[in-house]
Amino acid sequence: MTDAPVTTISVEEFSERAQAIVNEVRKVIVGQTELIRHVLICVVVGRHALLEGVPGLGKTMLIRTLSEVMNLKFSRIQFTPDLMPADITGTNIMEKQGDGRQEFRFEAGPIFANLVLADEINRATPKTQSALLEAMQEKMVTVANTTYHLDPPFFVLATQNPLEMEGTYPLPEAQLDRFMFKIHVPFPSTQELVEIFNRTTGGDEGQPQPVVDGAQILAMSELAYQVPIASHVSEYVARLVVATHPESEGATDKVRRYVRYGSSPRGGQALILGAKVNALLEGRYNVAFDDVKLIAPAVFRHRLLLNFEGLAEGITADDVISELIEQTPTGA
Amino acid sequence: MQYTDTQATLLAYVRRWNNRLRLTRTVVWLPRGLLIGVLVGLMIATISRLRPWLLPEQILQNALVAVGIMGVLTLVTIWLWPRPARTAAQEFDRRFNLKERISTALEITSGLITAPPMFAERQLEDARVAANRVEANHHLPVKVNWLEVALLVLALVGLAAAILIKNPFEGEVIAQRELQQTIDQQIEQLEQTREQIENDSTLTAEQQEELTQPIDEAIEALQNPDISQAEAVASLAEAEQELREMSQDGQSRTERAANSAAGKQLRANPNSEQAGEALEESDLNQAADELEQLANELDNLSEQERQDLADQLEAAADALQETNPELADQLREAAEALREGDTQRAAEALQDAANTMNQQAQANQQQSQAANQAADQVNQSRQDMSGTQDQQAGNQQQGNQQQGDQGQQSGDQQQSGNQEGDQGQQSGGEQQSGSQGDQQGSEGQQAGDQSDGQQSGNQQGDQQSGEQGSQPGGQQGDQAGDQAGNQAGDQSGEGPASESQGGEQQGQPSGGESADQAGGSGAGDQGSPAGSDTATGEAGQQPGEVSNAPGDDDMREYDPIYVPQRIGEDGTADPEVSLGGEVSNDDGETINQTDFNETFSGESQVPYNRVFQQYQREAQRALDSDYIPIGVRDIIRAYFSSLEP
Repeated sequence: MTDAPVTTISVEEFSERAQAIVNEVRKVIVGQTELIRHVLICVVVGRHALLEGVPGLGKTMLIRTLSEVMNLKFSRIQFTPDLMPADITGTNIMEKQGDGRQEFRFEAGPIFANLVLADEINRATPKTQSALLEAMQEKMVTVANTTYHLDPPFFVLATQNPLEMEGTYPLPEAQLDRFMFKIHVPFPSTQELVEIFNRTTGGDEGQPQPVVDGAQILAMSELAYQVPIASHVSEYVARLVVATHPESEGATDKVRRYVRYGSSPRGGQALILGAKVNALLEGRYNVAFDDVKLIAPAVFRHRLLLNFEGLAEGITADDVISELIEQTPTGA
Repeated sequence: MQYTDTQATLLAYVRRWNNRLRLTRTVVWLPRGLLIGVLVGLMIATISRLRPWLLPEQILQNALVAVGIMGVLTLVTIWLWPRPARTAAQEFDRRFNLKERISTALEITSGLITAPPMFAERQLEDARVAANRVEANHHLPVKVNWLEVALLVLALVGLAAAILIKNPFEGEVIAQRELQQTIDQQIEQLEQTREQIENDSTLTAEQQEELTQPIDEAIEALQNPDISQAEAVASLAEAEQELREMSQDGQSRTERAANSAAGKQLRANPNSEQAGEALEESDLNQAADELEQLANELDNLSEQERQDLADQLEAAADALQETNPELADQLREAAEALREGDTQRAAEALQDAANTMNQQAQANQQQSQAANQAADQVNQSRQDMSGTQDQQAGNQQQGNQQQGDQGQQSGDQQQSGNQEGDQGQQSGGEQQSGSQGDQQGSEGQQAGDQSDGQQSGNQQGDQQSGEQGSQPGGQQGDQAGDQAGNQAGDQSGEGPASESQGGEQQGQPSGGESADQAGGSGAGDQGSPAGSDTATGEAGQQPGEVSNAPGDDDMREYDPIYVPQRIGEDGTADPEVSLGGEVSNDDGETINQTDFNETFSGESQVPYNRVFQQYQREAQRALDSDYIPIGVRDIIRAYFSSLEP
C-alpha cells in the first residue's frame, strides 16, 4: 500500500474526521468506547465486523447511527431461517413494458448498500449465509449470470446473539475468517445505564449529524494503509499468529492444550491494519506494540478454534489470547 | 539519504542513552562480578583448608585472577559487547515508552522500510520530538545496590582472613610439591638411563629390552599421580634389585634357572660333574673349559659311560632349549654322536658348545656391566628420593605441631631403647613412631648386648617395613633384619666396594632427623660398617655369592649367632622377665619382665641350623604381613633360600 496514490487528506484531517465520527456517535451511544473504536477501525479499512452481544445493548442502534454520521446508504437484513439468498442479493423479476413486451429486470436486494446490518446472522440457513459472505468477500453479486458490483465503501456489520443458540446455524470457520473483528458488546455499567435511561426516557435523544461521506471514508482508508510499521513489530505480529497454532514452537500452554486450530494469515493482515488505524487514531505515525496488543483480541477471538477440552472446561478464546499476548516476546 | 540529519540526530540520542545504560549496568553488575570472583577465591581458600591443595600465596593469586577475570569480563560484556543501533533503539523505545517511534524512524532512514514522504517526515519529526523529551537520567538512574556492595566487602574480609590465618595443611602441601618435583627429576634421570642403555651399541636388542624393562616399570610407577613417597622408593628399589640381579652374571632369571637345571643334569654324571657344577652356578667360562676337557676325554670313556653321558647331555639340552637353542642343539648333537659311537663328532660338538658358552659369557659380561651401571643410577635416584622423604617429614612436622610432638616422643623412646640396648646406635630418629622405639627397647631388654649385625638388621627391617611404626611390623622387620644383619656383618669387607660405599653413604646420619639415616651405620664386630639400609640388605642377600650354609664351598666355622630368647621356647635359659603384670607362657608358668639391666647378656652359642626354621618362619610371617615392600621380598626369600641347611 505504500505505493498507493497520495491520499487527499492529511493525517490531521484523518484525526479530525475520526474524532468527529466518534463524537457524533456518542450523542446516541452511551459508553461502549472500545466497541465504537473497533467498529470505526473496521469501517475505515473497509472490512467487516461481527458484533456479539445479548439483545438490547444497542448494536443495531450503533450501526444505524454510524450510517447516519457517515452519510452512507444503510440497509438492515433481519436473518431468519426462512430467509433466502435472493432476499439478500435481489432477483430478476418479470416486468411488463409499455409496448406489451415482458422483460426481466434485476431488483437489487438489501445487500446493495454501503453499510449493511446483518442482524442475527446465525439464524439464517448456511445457504443464505454463504450468499451474504460471498458478497462480503468479493464485493459483488452474481444473479442469473450477471455480475453486479457493490458500491464502495461496503462493509457488513453482522450481529449474533450468544444466548439463544437453538435453531441457529453457527457460521463456518471459513466464513468467520472474513470478518475482520469479532467484537463483544459488553453490558453497560450502572453509570452508563443511568445515562441511557436519561437520554431515552427524557425526550432529549441526541440527533447525530453526518460529518463524513463515503468518499472521505475511502480517503481515510487509503491513508491508514500507508502508516509505516517497523520490521520488528511486523515480526511480532507474525510470531503472534504462529503462536496461535498448538503445534508451533512459540505456542503457549493454553494454546497447546485448548486450541484445535489457530489463526489464518488473514488474521495477521487484520491485526496490522487495525493497529495502523489505531496508531492514527492516537495521533501517531507508526505502529507500536501496544496497538497490536490492543487489537489482537478482536482479531483472534473468532479465529481460534477451541478443542473439546477447552469448551468443556469453559475456556474462552479471550483467556487464550490474554496468555498469548502476555507470553509472546516483543523482542526477537 | 534524504533523512541523514534526522538519522544522525536519532543515532546520537541512541548513543547517549546507550552510554547511560552501560553506566547503570556497570554500577549494578561490576560489584556482582567482583563478588563472584571473590567467592571463587573464598571457595578455593576453603577447600585448601579442608585438604592439602594450595599455599596462601597461590590462593591469593587465584583469587586475584578470579576477581580480575570477573571484573574484566563484566566490563567487557557491558561496554564492548556489540549492540546495533536498531537493537538499542528498540530497547529504548520500550524503556522510555516511545511506542516504537525511534526504531521505526531508524528503519525508515536506513531504508529498511518505506513510507510515503509525508508520513516519513511526520514520523521522523515525531520521533525526534519524542526523543528530545526523554530524560535519560531520570529513566536510567545510577543506583548502587549497597546490599551487594556490603556482601562484596564481607566476602573480601572472609577471603583475607582465609589467606592470613595459618593453614594447617601448608607444610603438607610444600612437602607434596617437593616430592612431586623430586619424582619428576627422577623420572627424567631414569629416562636418561634408559636412553643410555638404548644407545649402548655393545648390547643386543634383547639385552637392551631386558635392561630397560625394570626402568620402564619404575618410570610407569613414578608417573602414577597418586604415588606416595614410600611407594616411589619401593618401585626404585625393585628396579634396582632387578638390575642388580642382572649385573651378577648378566643373566636373566630365566637363563639362570635354565643353566641351573642343565647343570644339575650334567652334574649327575661323574664325567660331566665339573661342567655341571659350573653351569649350575652360571659360570659359563668355567663350564666351557670343563666341556673342552670333557671333549678331550671322550675316547677314554667306556661305552656305557658314553651312553650315560649322552643321556645327560640330552637332558641338559632340553633344559637349555628355550634360553639358548644354539647351545642346546650342540649338546644334543654331541649326545647323538656319543650314542652312535662317533667320539670325534661328539668332541667337535662339545667344542662348539664350549665356544658358544664362551660367547654367551662374554655377552653376559657386557650386559652385567650395563646393568650394574644402570643399577647404580637407579640407586642414586632412590637415595635422592629418600632424602626428599626426610625433608618432607621435616616439612610435615613443621606444618603440624601435633605430628611434631609425636615424632619427638617416638624419638625419645627410640633413644631410650638404643641406650639400653648397649649399642653404639646412632639415634635421633624423630620420624620413627613410638612403637618402633618400644620395639627396640624391647630388643635391648631381651638381648642386651647385641651384635651390630642385629642392629643394622633392625634398621633395615624398620625401613623396609615402610616405617609404619606398628608393633607387629616392627617386630617382624627386626626378625628379618636380624638375619640380614648377621650376614651383612659377616660380609663386611667382602662385598663390592661400591656397595659398601653405598651402605656407608646411606648410613651417614644427616642431622639425626630421619629414622633410616639415624640407623644408617653401626659398629660391626669386625669393625667394619655393615651397612644399614637396603643397600646393605642387598649385599647380604645375594644368594650363593657368600654363604655359610652347610655344603657351600666357602663354608667355614659356624659363626656364633645370637638366638633371641622366646618365652616358652624349649631348652634355653630361664629368663627372669617382668612384664609389669603376670603373664603365663605356654606351659602355664607365670613369667615376668624385668628391667633391661637385669636381663642376661644373650650370648648364645647355637648353630644356626637349629634356629633356622624359626627365623625363616618369622621372616615369612613378616613377608605376609604387607609391612615388607614388594621390592625387597624376593631378596629376603632368596636370602633364606641360600641359608637353607
